[in-house]
Amino acid sequence: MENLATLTILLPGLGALAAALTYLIPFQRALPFTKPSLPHHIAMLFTTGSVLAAAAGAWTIFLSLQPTTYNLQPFSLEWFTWLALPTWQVSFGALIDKLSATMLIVVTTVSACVHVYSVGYMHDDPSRRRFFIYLSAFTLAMLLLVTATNLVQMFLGWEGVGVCSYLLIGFWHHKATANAAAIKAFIVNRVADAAMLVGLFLLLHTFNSLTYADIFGQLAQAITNNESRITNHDLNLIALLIFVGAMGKSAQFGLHTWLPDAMEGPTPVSALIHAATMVTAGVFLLCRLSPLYEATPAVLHLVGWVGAITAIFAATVGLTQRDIKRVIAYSTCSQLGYMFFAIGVSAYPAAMFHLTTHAFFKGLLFLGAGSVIHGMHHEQDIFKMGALRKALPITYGLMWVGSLALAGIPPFAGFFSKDLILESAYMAPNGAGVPLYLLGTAAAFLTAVYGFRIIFMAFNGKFQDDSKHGHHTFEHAHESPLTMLIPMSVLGFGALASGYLLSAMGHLAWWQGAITINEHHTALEAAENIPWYAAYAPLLLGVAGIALAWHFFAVHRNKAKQAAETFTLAYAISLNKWYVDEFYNFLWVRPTAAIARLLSSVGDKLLIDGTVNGTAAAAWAAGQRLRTTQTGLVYHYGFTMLAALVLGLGYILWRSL
Amino acid sequence: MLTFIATYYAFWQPYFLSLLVFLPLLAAVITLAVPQRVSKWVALVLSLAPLKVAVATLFFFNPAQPGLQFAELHPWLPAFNIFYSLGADGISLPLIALNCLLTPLCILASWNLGAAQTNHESRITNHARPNAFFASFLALQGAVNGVFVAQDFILFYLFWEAMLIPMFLIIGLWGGENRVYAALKFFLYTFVGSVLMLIAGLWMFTHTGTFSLPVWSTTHFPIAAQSLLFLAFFAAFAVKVPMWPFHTWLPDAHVQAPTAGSVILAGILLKMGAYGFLRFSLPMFPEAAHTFAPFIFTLSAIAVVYAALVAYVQTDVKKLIAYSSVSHMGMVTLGIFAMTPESLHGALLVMLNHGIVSAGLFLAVGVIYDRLHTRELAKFGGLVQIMPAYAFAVMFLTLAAVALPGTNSFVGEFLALAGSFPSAPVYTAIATTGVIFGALYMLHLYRGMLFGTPSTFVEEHKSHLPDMSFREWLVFIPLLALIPILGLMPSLAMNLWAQPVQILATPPITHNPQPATLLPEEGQGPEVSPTTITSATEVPAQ
Repeated sequence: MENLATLTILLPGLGALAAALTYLIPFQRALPFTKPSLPHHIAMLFTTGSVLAAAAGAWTIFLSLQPTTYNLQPFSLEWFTWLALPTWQVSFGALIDKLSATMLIVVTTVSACVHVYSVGYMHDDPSRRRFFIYLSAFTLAMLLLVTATNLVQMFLGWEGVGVCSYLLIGFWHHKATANAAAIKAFIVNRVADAAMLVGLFLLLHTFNSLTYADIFGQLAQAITNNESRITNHDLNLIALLIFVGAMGKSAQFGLHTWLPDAMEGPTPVSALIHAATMVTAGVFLLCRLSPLYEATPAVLHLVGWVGAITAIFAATVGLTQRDIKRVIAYSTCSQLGYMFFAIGVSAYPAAMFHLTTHAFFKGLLFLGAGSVIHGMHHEQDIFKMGALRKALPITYGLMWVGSLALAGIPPFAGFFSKDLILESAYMAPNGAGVPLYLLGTAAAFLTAVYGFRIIFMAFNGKFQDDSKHGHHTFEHAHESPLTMLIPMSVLGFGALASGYLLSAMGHLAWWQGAITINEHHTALEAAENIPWYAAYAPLLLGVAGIALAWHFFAVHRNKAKQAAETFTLAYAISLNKWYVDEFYNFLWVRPTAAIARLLSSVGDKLLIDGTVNGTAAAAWAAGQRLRTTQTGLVYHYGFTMLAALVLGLGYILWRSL
Repeated sequence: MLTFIATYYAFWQPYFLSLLVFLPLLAAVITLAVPQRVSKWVALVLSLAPLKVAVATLFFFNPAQPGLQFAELHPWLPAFNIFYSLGADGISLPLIALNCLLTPLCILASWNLGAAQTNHESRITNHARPNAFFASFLALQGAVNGVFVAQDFILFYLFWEAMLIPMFLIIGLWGGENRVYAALKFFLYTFVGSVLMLIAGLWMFTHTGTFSLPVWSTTHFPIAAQSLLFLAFFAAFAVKVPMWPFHTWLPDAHVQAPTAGSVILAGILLKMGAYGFLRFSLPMFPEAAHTFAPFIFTLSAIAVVYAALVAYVQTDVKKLIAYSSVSHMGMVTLGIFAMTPESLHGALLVMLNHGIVSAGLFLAVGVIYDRLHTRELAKFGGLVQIMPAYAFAVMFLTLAAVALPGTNSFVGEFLALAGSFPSAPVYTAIATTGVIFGALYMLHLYRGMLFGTPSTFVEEHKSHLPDMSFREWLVFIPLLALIPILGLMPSLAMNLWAQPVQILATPPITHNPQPATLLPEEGQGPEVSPTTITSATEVPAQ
């Protein structure tokens, strides 16, 4: 099983490497009889094949870990030492337990679906070879992240997925907007990563190790022995700084601004990276570090609130966006908020459960959106769509599946996981989670509204773009090829059934020790005893949200417009994403550039170089003055010598007197 | 066959360091003597000889053995107790190897020197004397190797100053429009610093009666004197690094220097300052180093953030990379003076890695400068569509420059910062924000040069924009290969300097002279009279 794990993790990397090596073969010159698309097809074969194989490996490992099948015990393996210092070291390796195995199946399954889907979606792109290499490289980085045995390899994966995200957002690098979005994504993540790095430094200083097992062992020991070596202050700071890192990657409120812009990338990228996998890395990391966060309840409380605020904030913004991908992006942001507030009430299993179901249904929604965009010749504005259900019937059906899962309607996947989160929050000890529950339930209502707004605007009612171009597009709207529909159906099955099939994930025992919960944090256990009214409220609100969406966006679209005109301020705030970008431009972006220019012109040129050149000029001026004494006339020199002699002797005489 | 090679090298082994110094100097003389047409070939072939010796030195070096190796000791000016004393340890060897690697690459990168130039101004200067140009580089290589192996202060100082002359010529004769100002600024800035160092060295001679660096390292200088000595040496090294605010010579020097000059400047010459801190400041003035550490942390943290911000607003590509050097070297000085094993390992790694990555970036700028004769960021754009292979190489270097884990820069910066954290948490946290601004200017640079649609300027010169040639790939491949190798297996380098790092990281409060570890092997210490030794070791009692 060790070898299988190694192979599974490294396969996508090998595929990417093999595909990259095709660049070294001059196909047109060496093999002039082949088609120009041959290298692309070879690259697709290598990358897609390797990821499909990795998915098979991941499922084998995952199923073997189930007690009912093979009862494989969690294990870790070491490949080679990366950093060896006298007192601590870090190795490349893999830790296979329930947590990483779950991530393995999520990442490889969605990645395999996206690879296959991209064969269809990107079929006419001249650089699709590069696209597939990036996709597979991303998968490798993500797998290294989730299977790391230590925080440094985790960070390697963390930054690796960040770079692949940067490269894929900016994949169409001739577009200025794509480049700007790519840089924004990287920089915002770097801000978070800088905080996380400081957290890692403090962690290393405190525990003299960056390996999970070491840290958790020392932590447990310190807690039972009540050691003063590890202070609460340090622990809180570590947990906080790492959480800031997670906020960046998982687009939590405050550090979310890169995610909607990241939609500039090709849609399969949005499905894989910006919905199903990379953005959930923050959630995964906090679950992986559950022993640490269980020891820092104050930070946990903050995590919960940040999650809940993100959930409601992103839901309100999702209501009014016109770009189909941006709506889904805000939806992702909101759903990630749910996961964080689950962690905030110590319901890590619920967070991981939702992470899994969300990967399926959100991946499906993005691929569905991609199918619509593909069928509509790259139109992304839902206000220029409508009545597409006849042209894209299969996509329409699958979008329904995804949206029902998103809205939390039984028996779809989202219902199981989202309800567990809300129930845990409601039942958190001392009612601490009730405000979170209320925010989350309100967000659940909004989720249903914006989720079905997409469906009803795009697929139902009348076609909305009356321009000539619009009519042309509508007439030529077409269903996607099988290479796209089959992966969508696979994810559709996940969105339909994963909640029911994997509902055991909601219990702590299922995780076999991969997650630690403090015995006083009873939210998850108590979730079963929730009163019926609190349990059904989210579901009822979800149904109400769908009904509302039907009323406003399928039947009476003008009423939605009227509502927007009535509530101008609310509409403007939502449409402009609460003006967060504008605020950051004012607070950070412009001042940073201004300060940089000031440092360059005033600091370097005026002050430092002014001093340097001033000294040089002074020396020059002094030289010029002194030069006038070098007259070349012997009697001048003679007189100077005589004067000096007289003065010198006079001084000696005067001193000796 | 293998045994023959082994015996051959074993025979030369005692002279490795002398060969490293004098082979390049000899090569410089030969290159000057040959006709202009063949000079580049002669220079290239001759520059491979020191590289071969450097590889052999690394091969024969025993990291487990403490102290200096390959030591050579001959009387030079016995009347003043001055010796021709050479020796190398794990700190100097990687820098020597880097120097010996970069010089052939520089010669290869300057292959078309003297070929027709479109720019009239540069026609006059660049046309002239390729043999002198290549000879300058070889002389520079020899002098810099001398700096890294000299174990006698006078010899060290000789090489330290001698190295200025070829560099002055390279900038002043083959540089850009404003080359004379830049060359003078470079010369005077560094010269002022080193004069103070000379005075301090002479004082130390009067105190100990020897110029031997190993002896100085084990001498405990009086605390009061240490501060002044420290500051005098600091002046020399801080300018060389360069530390903020002594850095303004660097952007000018880089912008005016020819490509190969920038490569050596960024790759090797900046490391001399950091090397000085490690060879002089830390072992010889440990108490002063501790006293001044907070001051240096401040300057370092400022350097990291300040230089990164200034880099971001530069319009000249070379200036941008020059400022990035200042930023990265800030991490080096931070790591050196934090004096923990992690931070010293990190600082040394950053030195080595920055030598690889910034050299690569300057070479990359050179590739475009050779084709378009401009360095203005605003004029570029969309090059990725015309030169995809070049875009790949630059992306590789860019990712290394932003310290992506897996590339060499990451391990260096991570260890430097992680190691500095216990000593200076706040300054380390400030310096860590450098990873944000570092990404900002590098991605800004990459977007400006390569992404987007081709600018009108680029469109007009499309015919002059062939993708990377075979020769250019030869220049880049060694550097690109080192990036992941050192990124994934940093122990290849860290093992070399593990011994000296362990000694440098020892807290100085319990200062304990360890003559055995720092003296040349086989007890071949400089022949100082017994009285001077005793007076030197008696000093702590005063």
